[in-house]
Amino acid sequence: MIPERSSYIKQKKAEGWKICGVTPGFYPKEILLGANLLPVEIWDPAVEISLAYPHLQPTICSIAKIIISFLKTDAANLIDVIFVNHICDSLQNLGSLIHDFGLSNKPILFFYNPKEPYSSSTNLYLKDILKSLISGLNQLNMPVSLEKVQEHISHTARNYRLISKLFEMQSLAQTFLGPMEFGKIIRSFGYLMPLDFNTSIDWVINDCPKDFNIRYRLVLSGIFPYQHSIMEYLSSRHVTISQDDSLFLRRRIPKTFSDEPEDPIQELINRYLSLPPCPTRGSDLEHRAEHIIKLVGESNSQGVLFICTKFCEPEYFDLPYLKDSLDSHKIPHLVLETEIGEPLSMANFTRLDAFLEGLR
Amino acid sequence: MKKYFAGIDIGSLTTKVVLIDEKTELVSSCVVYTGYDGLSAAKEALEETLKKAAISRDQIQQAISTGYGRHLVTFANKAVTEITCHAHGALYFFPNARTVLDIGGQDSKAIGLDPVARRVINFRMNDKCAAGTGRFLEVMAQRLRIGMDRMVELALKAKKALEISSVCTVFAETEVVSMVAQNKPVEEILKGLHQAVVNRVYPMLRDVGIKEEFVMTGGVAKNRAILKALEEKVGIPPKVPPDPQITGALGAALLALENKES
Amino acid sequence: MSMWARMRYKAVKDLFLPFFVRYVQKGKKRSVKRPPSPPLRINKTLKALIASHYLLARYAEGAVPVAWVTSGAPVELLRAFGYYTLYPENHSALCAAQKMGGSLCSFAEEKGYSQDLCSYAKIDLGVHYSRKTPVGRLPKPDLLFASNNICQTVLYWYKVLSKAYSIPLILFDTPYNYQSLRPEDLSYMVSQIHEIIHQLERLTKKDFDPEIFSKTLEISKSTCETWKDILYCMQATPAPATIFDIFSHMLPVVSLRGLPVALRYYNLLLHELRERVEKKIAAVPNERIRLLWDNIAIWYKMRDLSNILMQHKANIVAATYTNAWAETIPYMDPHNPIESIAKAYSLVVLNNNLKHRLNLIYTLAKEFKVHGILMHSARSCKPYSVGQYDMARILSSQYNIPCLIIEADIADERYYSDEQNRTRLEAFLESLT
Repeated sequence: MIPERSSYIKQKKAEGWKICGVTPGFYPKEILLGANLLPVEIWDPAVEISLAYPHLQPTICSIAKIIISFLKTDAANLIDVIFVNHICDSLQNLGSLIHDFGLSNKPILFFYNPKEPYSSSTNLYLKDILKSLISGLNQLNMPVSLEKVQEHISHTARNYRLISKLFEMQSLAQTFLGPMEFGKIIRSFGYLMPLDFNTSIDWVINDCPKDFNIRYRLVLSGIFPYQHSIMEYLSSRHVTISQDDSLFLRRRIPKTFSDEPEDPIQELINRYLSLPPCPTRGSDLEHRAEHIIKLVGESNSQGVLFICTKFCEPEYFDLPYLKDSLDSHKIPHLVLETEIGEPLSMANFTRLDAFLEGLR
Repeated sequence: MKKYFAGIDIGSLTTKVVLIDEKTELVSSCVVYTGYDGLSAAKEALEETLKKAAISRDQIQQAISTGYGRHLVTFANKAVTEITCHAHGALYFFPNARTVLDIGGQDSKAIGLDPVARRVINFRMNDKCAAGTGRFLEVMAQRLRIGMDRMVELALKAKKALEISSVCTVFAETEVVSMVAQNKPVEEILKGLHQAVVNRVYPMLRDVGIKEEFVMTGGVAKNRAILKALEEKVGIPPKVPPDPQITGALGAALLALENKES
Repeated sequence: MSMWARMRYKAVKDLFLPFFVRYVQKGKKRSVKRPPSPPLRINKTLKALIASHYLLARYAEGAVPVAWVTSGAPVELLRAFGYYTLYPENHSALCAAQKMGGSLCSFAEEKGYSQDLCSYAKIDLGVHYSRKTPVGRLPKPDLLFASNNICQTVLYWYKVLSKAYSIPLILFDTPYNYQSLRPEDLSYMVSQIHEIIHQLERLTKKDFDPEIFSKTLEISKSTCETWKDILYCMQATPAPATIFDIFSHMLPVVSLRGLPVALRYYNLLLHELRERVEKKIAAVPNERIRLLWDNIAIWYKMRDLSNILMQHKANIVAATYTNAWAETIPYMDPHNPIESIAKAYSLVVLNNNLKHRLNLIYTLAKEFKVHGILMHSARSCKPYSVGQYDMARILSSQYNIPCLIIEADIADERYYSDEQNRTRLEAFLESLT
């Protein structure tokens, strides 16, 4: 009941949708959908990462590397438009590299993610860049229907509610979805249309068997996709992800949102401004720590698992402060360093095992 | 018939087995090279250990495996990480251990413990980089064409150290070769190399917190030049178990005994 | 602010400094091997300038408001409110030049900061944790003022400082120019500048004086114009200085921009360089190879690199790094200060797309008649380094300008491989003759 990505993309193309390859970040999905563009996030396509070596230094993160590698393969032909979010230096330059040095012949749209602390300037700016995005799409002969945008806004509102519900149910249950199924539905958030995502998550909530025995509850944080090898490991150790603080998922779910706003553009702005803290938007360290500690408390979790992509500056600058805060609240935590496109290393499995062995 | 408990530690370089009795007395132990077949190495080491103690296989009530190859040991009752096992092994000799440093052949780890609750509170592992492991010293010994024992002896003689600034083993090797070419005193180079290993593991130690009793385990704990460099860096002399290389296997055996009771 | 601190600050500034400057300028005679060409006379004045900047800084705490600022931030706004400004990036470069980079980074690493993070930031955090600095003591800031036009890392770094010192951080958020500067980005920045002015008024309890602001911008503009003239002295064949000299003389335009002392200093430097051009005094005798440098300097290897180049009669005559403070002068307009300052700071080379950088490199290469390009691929600096591999390929194959990539770090000497880099550099220089 959760459509697999490549067959879903092919199906949507056949229905007349164009595909928009999106780099990680905070973007107005509803506007792209309003232009009949299906946003598909590029996190960990199964491509040979060494294709990036002639372009990127060894000390650049694997998310940037895999995006370039992907764009150099035939699989990238599925994409009609590339959408680049500005969240960090590496992806900033990556966007410029792709555009300026012809690494792709597809049109590219750029979307700056304004940084905190927000002010009235931010509100006005978001309005301007959303309008600018709409006119950019118009120029590409992909006009945006505000009516459709409104529809998708109400679908994504439901997405957010259902995702919260899923986590709520998990924190109360003794048996629930295993990480494998959980990982599948979460990953699908990166490519399913909001309406289709609602159908899938409805099925997961109501009909999917929930016989996975939970022994450990952890909050998951970091900038990484829900990789198969991680989900497999967590499954084998009876660990459930009781709450999420990842850029892939909950950092993109606004705290306040409306189903039927009067002004769809202002609604998208309000949603951006009410997103949970994330270092890629320059969020305050104390807010981040408080947010994570709150997630631990409300989900009855035993600890926090940070999964960080190697060389990720925004995450690694925040970590020492976050770890100190968690220590002072006596919340166990573990940081795993990973690379996109590689399964979790043996040493990381050992770290996880040792961490679980140490939990009460 | 007396019952025994076994700990099997399959490391990337060596496999260790320890046998203890119900009173936690260390009965027998053995170290073999792991080679390419961890399971065979484990079987071989176990056989040897049993032979030494004149004990038969069926007298082993529980066995716990640990180390890099812990999942290979099909005949173990349970697999537990070397972090937990080194912690328990250290507590056996030093019941007030709060910080444990294990520098192995190919990796190193720092462990913060609560000795009262007998629990690991936090830990750090270095598995990506040869600098900060026994391998670093081996590579240098080979490069300088001296035996490990001689290397330690010379390093201990030096009054001061020549600093090795490279963080990477490969670059450090080049740096050492260059120093030798400039006729720099070899004792000072060697002291510098030992300091480099300690500098590499120091951030991990700081991260978990350096508290007394500070214990060092693993094969490299037999290296007195490392112990000296550690004391100079940390300010506390590290305590070392009688046979530091088998600490992990001993911890596993102790956990096997505990496991029997649960 | 305390009355006693203010009095002491004024006494140091007005009474002590003039003697201190003269003392430093006289300097001790050092038995250093004299380079083949005479050193710049003004070097002693530079030393005095740097020393007095950091000396006075110590007394600024509690006397005048102190701000720590990023190199790309519109400092002219702070000058209008009388802030004493310090530049942690400049201080980190100084530490690196004293070969303290690695050890200071390890203090930060021991506190849990990853070894892969920017070494400027780690040195600064290392200074905070260890309280070790070659300049004696840094004053505790009252405000952090950052712009992410040079990189996003400054934001992450300054956020940590903000918590460490419990002080406010003001960010001037400059959207990246993937193509040309868009009206919406300019509006956003102009709007922020107005907000920043209000914030500074609240913090200092002073009113913003638009006249002082315009005057400061005028001084900045003149300073940058003089700096540009200095850089263009290097067009002469042979060049009167090396890029390493020029790197050393960056402090005034980066850290003292907007203050009359920087402009005065650069007029002296320009005068001396023009003199050398006239007299055909070469920094590198028998200069044979002219090069362009891309990226920040390798602060702990300046002398060594300079020696290798000298041996091969090579000189680096231009750099995108030094050019950064000359490039955006045309946008500065004291009669339209706020919008022009937004433009000038938005269009700095690191906030501009890679096509722009490639064109800039090509233009500078032609203007300065270079034979080859050295690209420092800096581990710490992603905005400067990502894209270099492609640019090097395009420059070599399409524009026939040979390029060499040097993998190193800006300030952490632990990531420099002497043998490897020397061999590659020498082979490159040999191929150019």
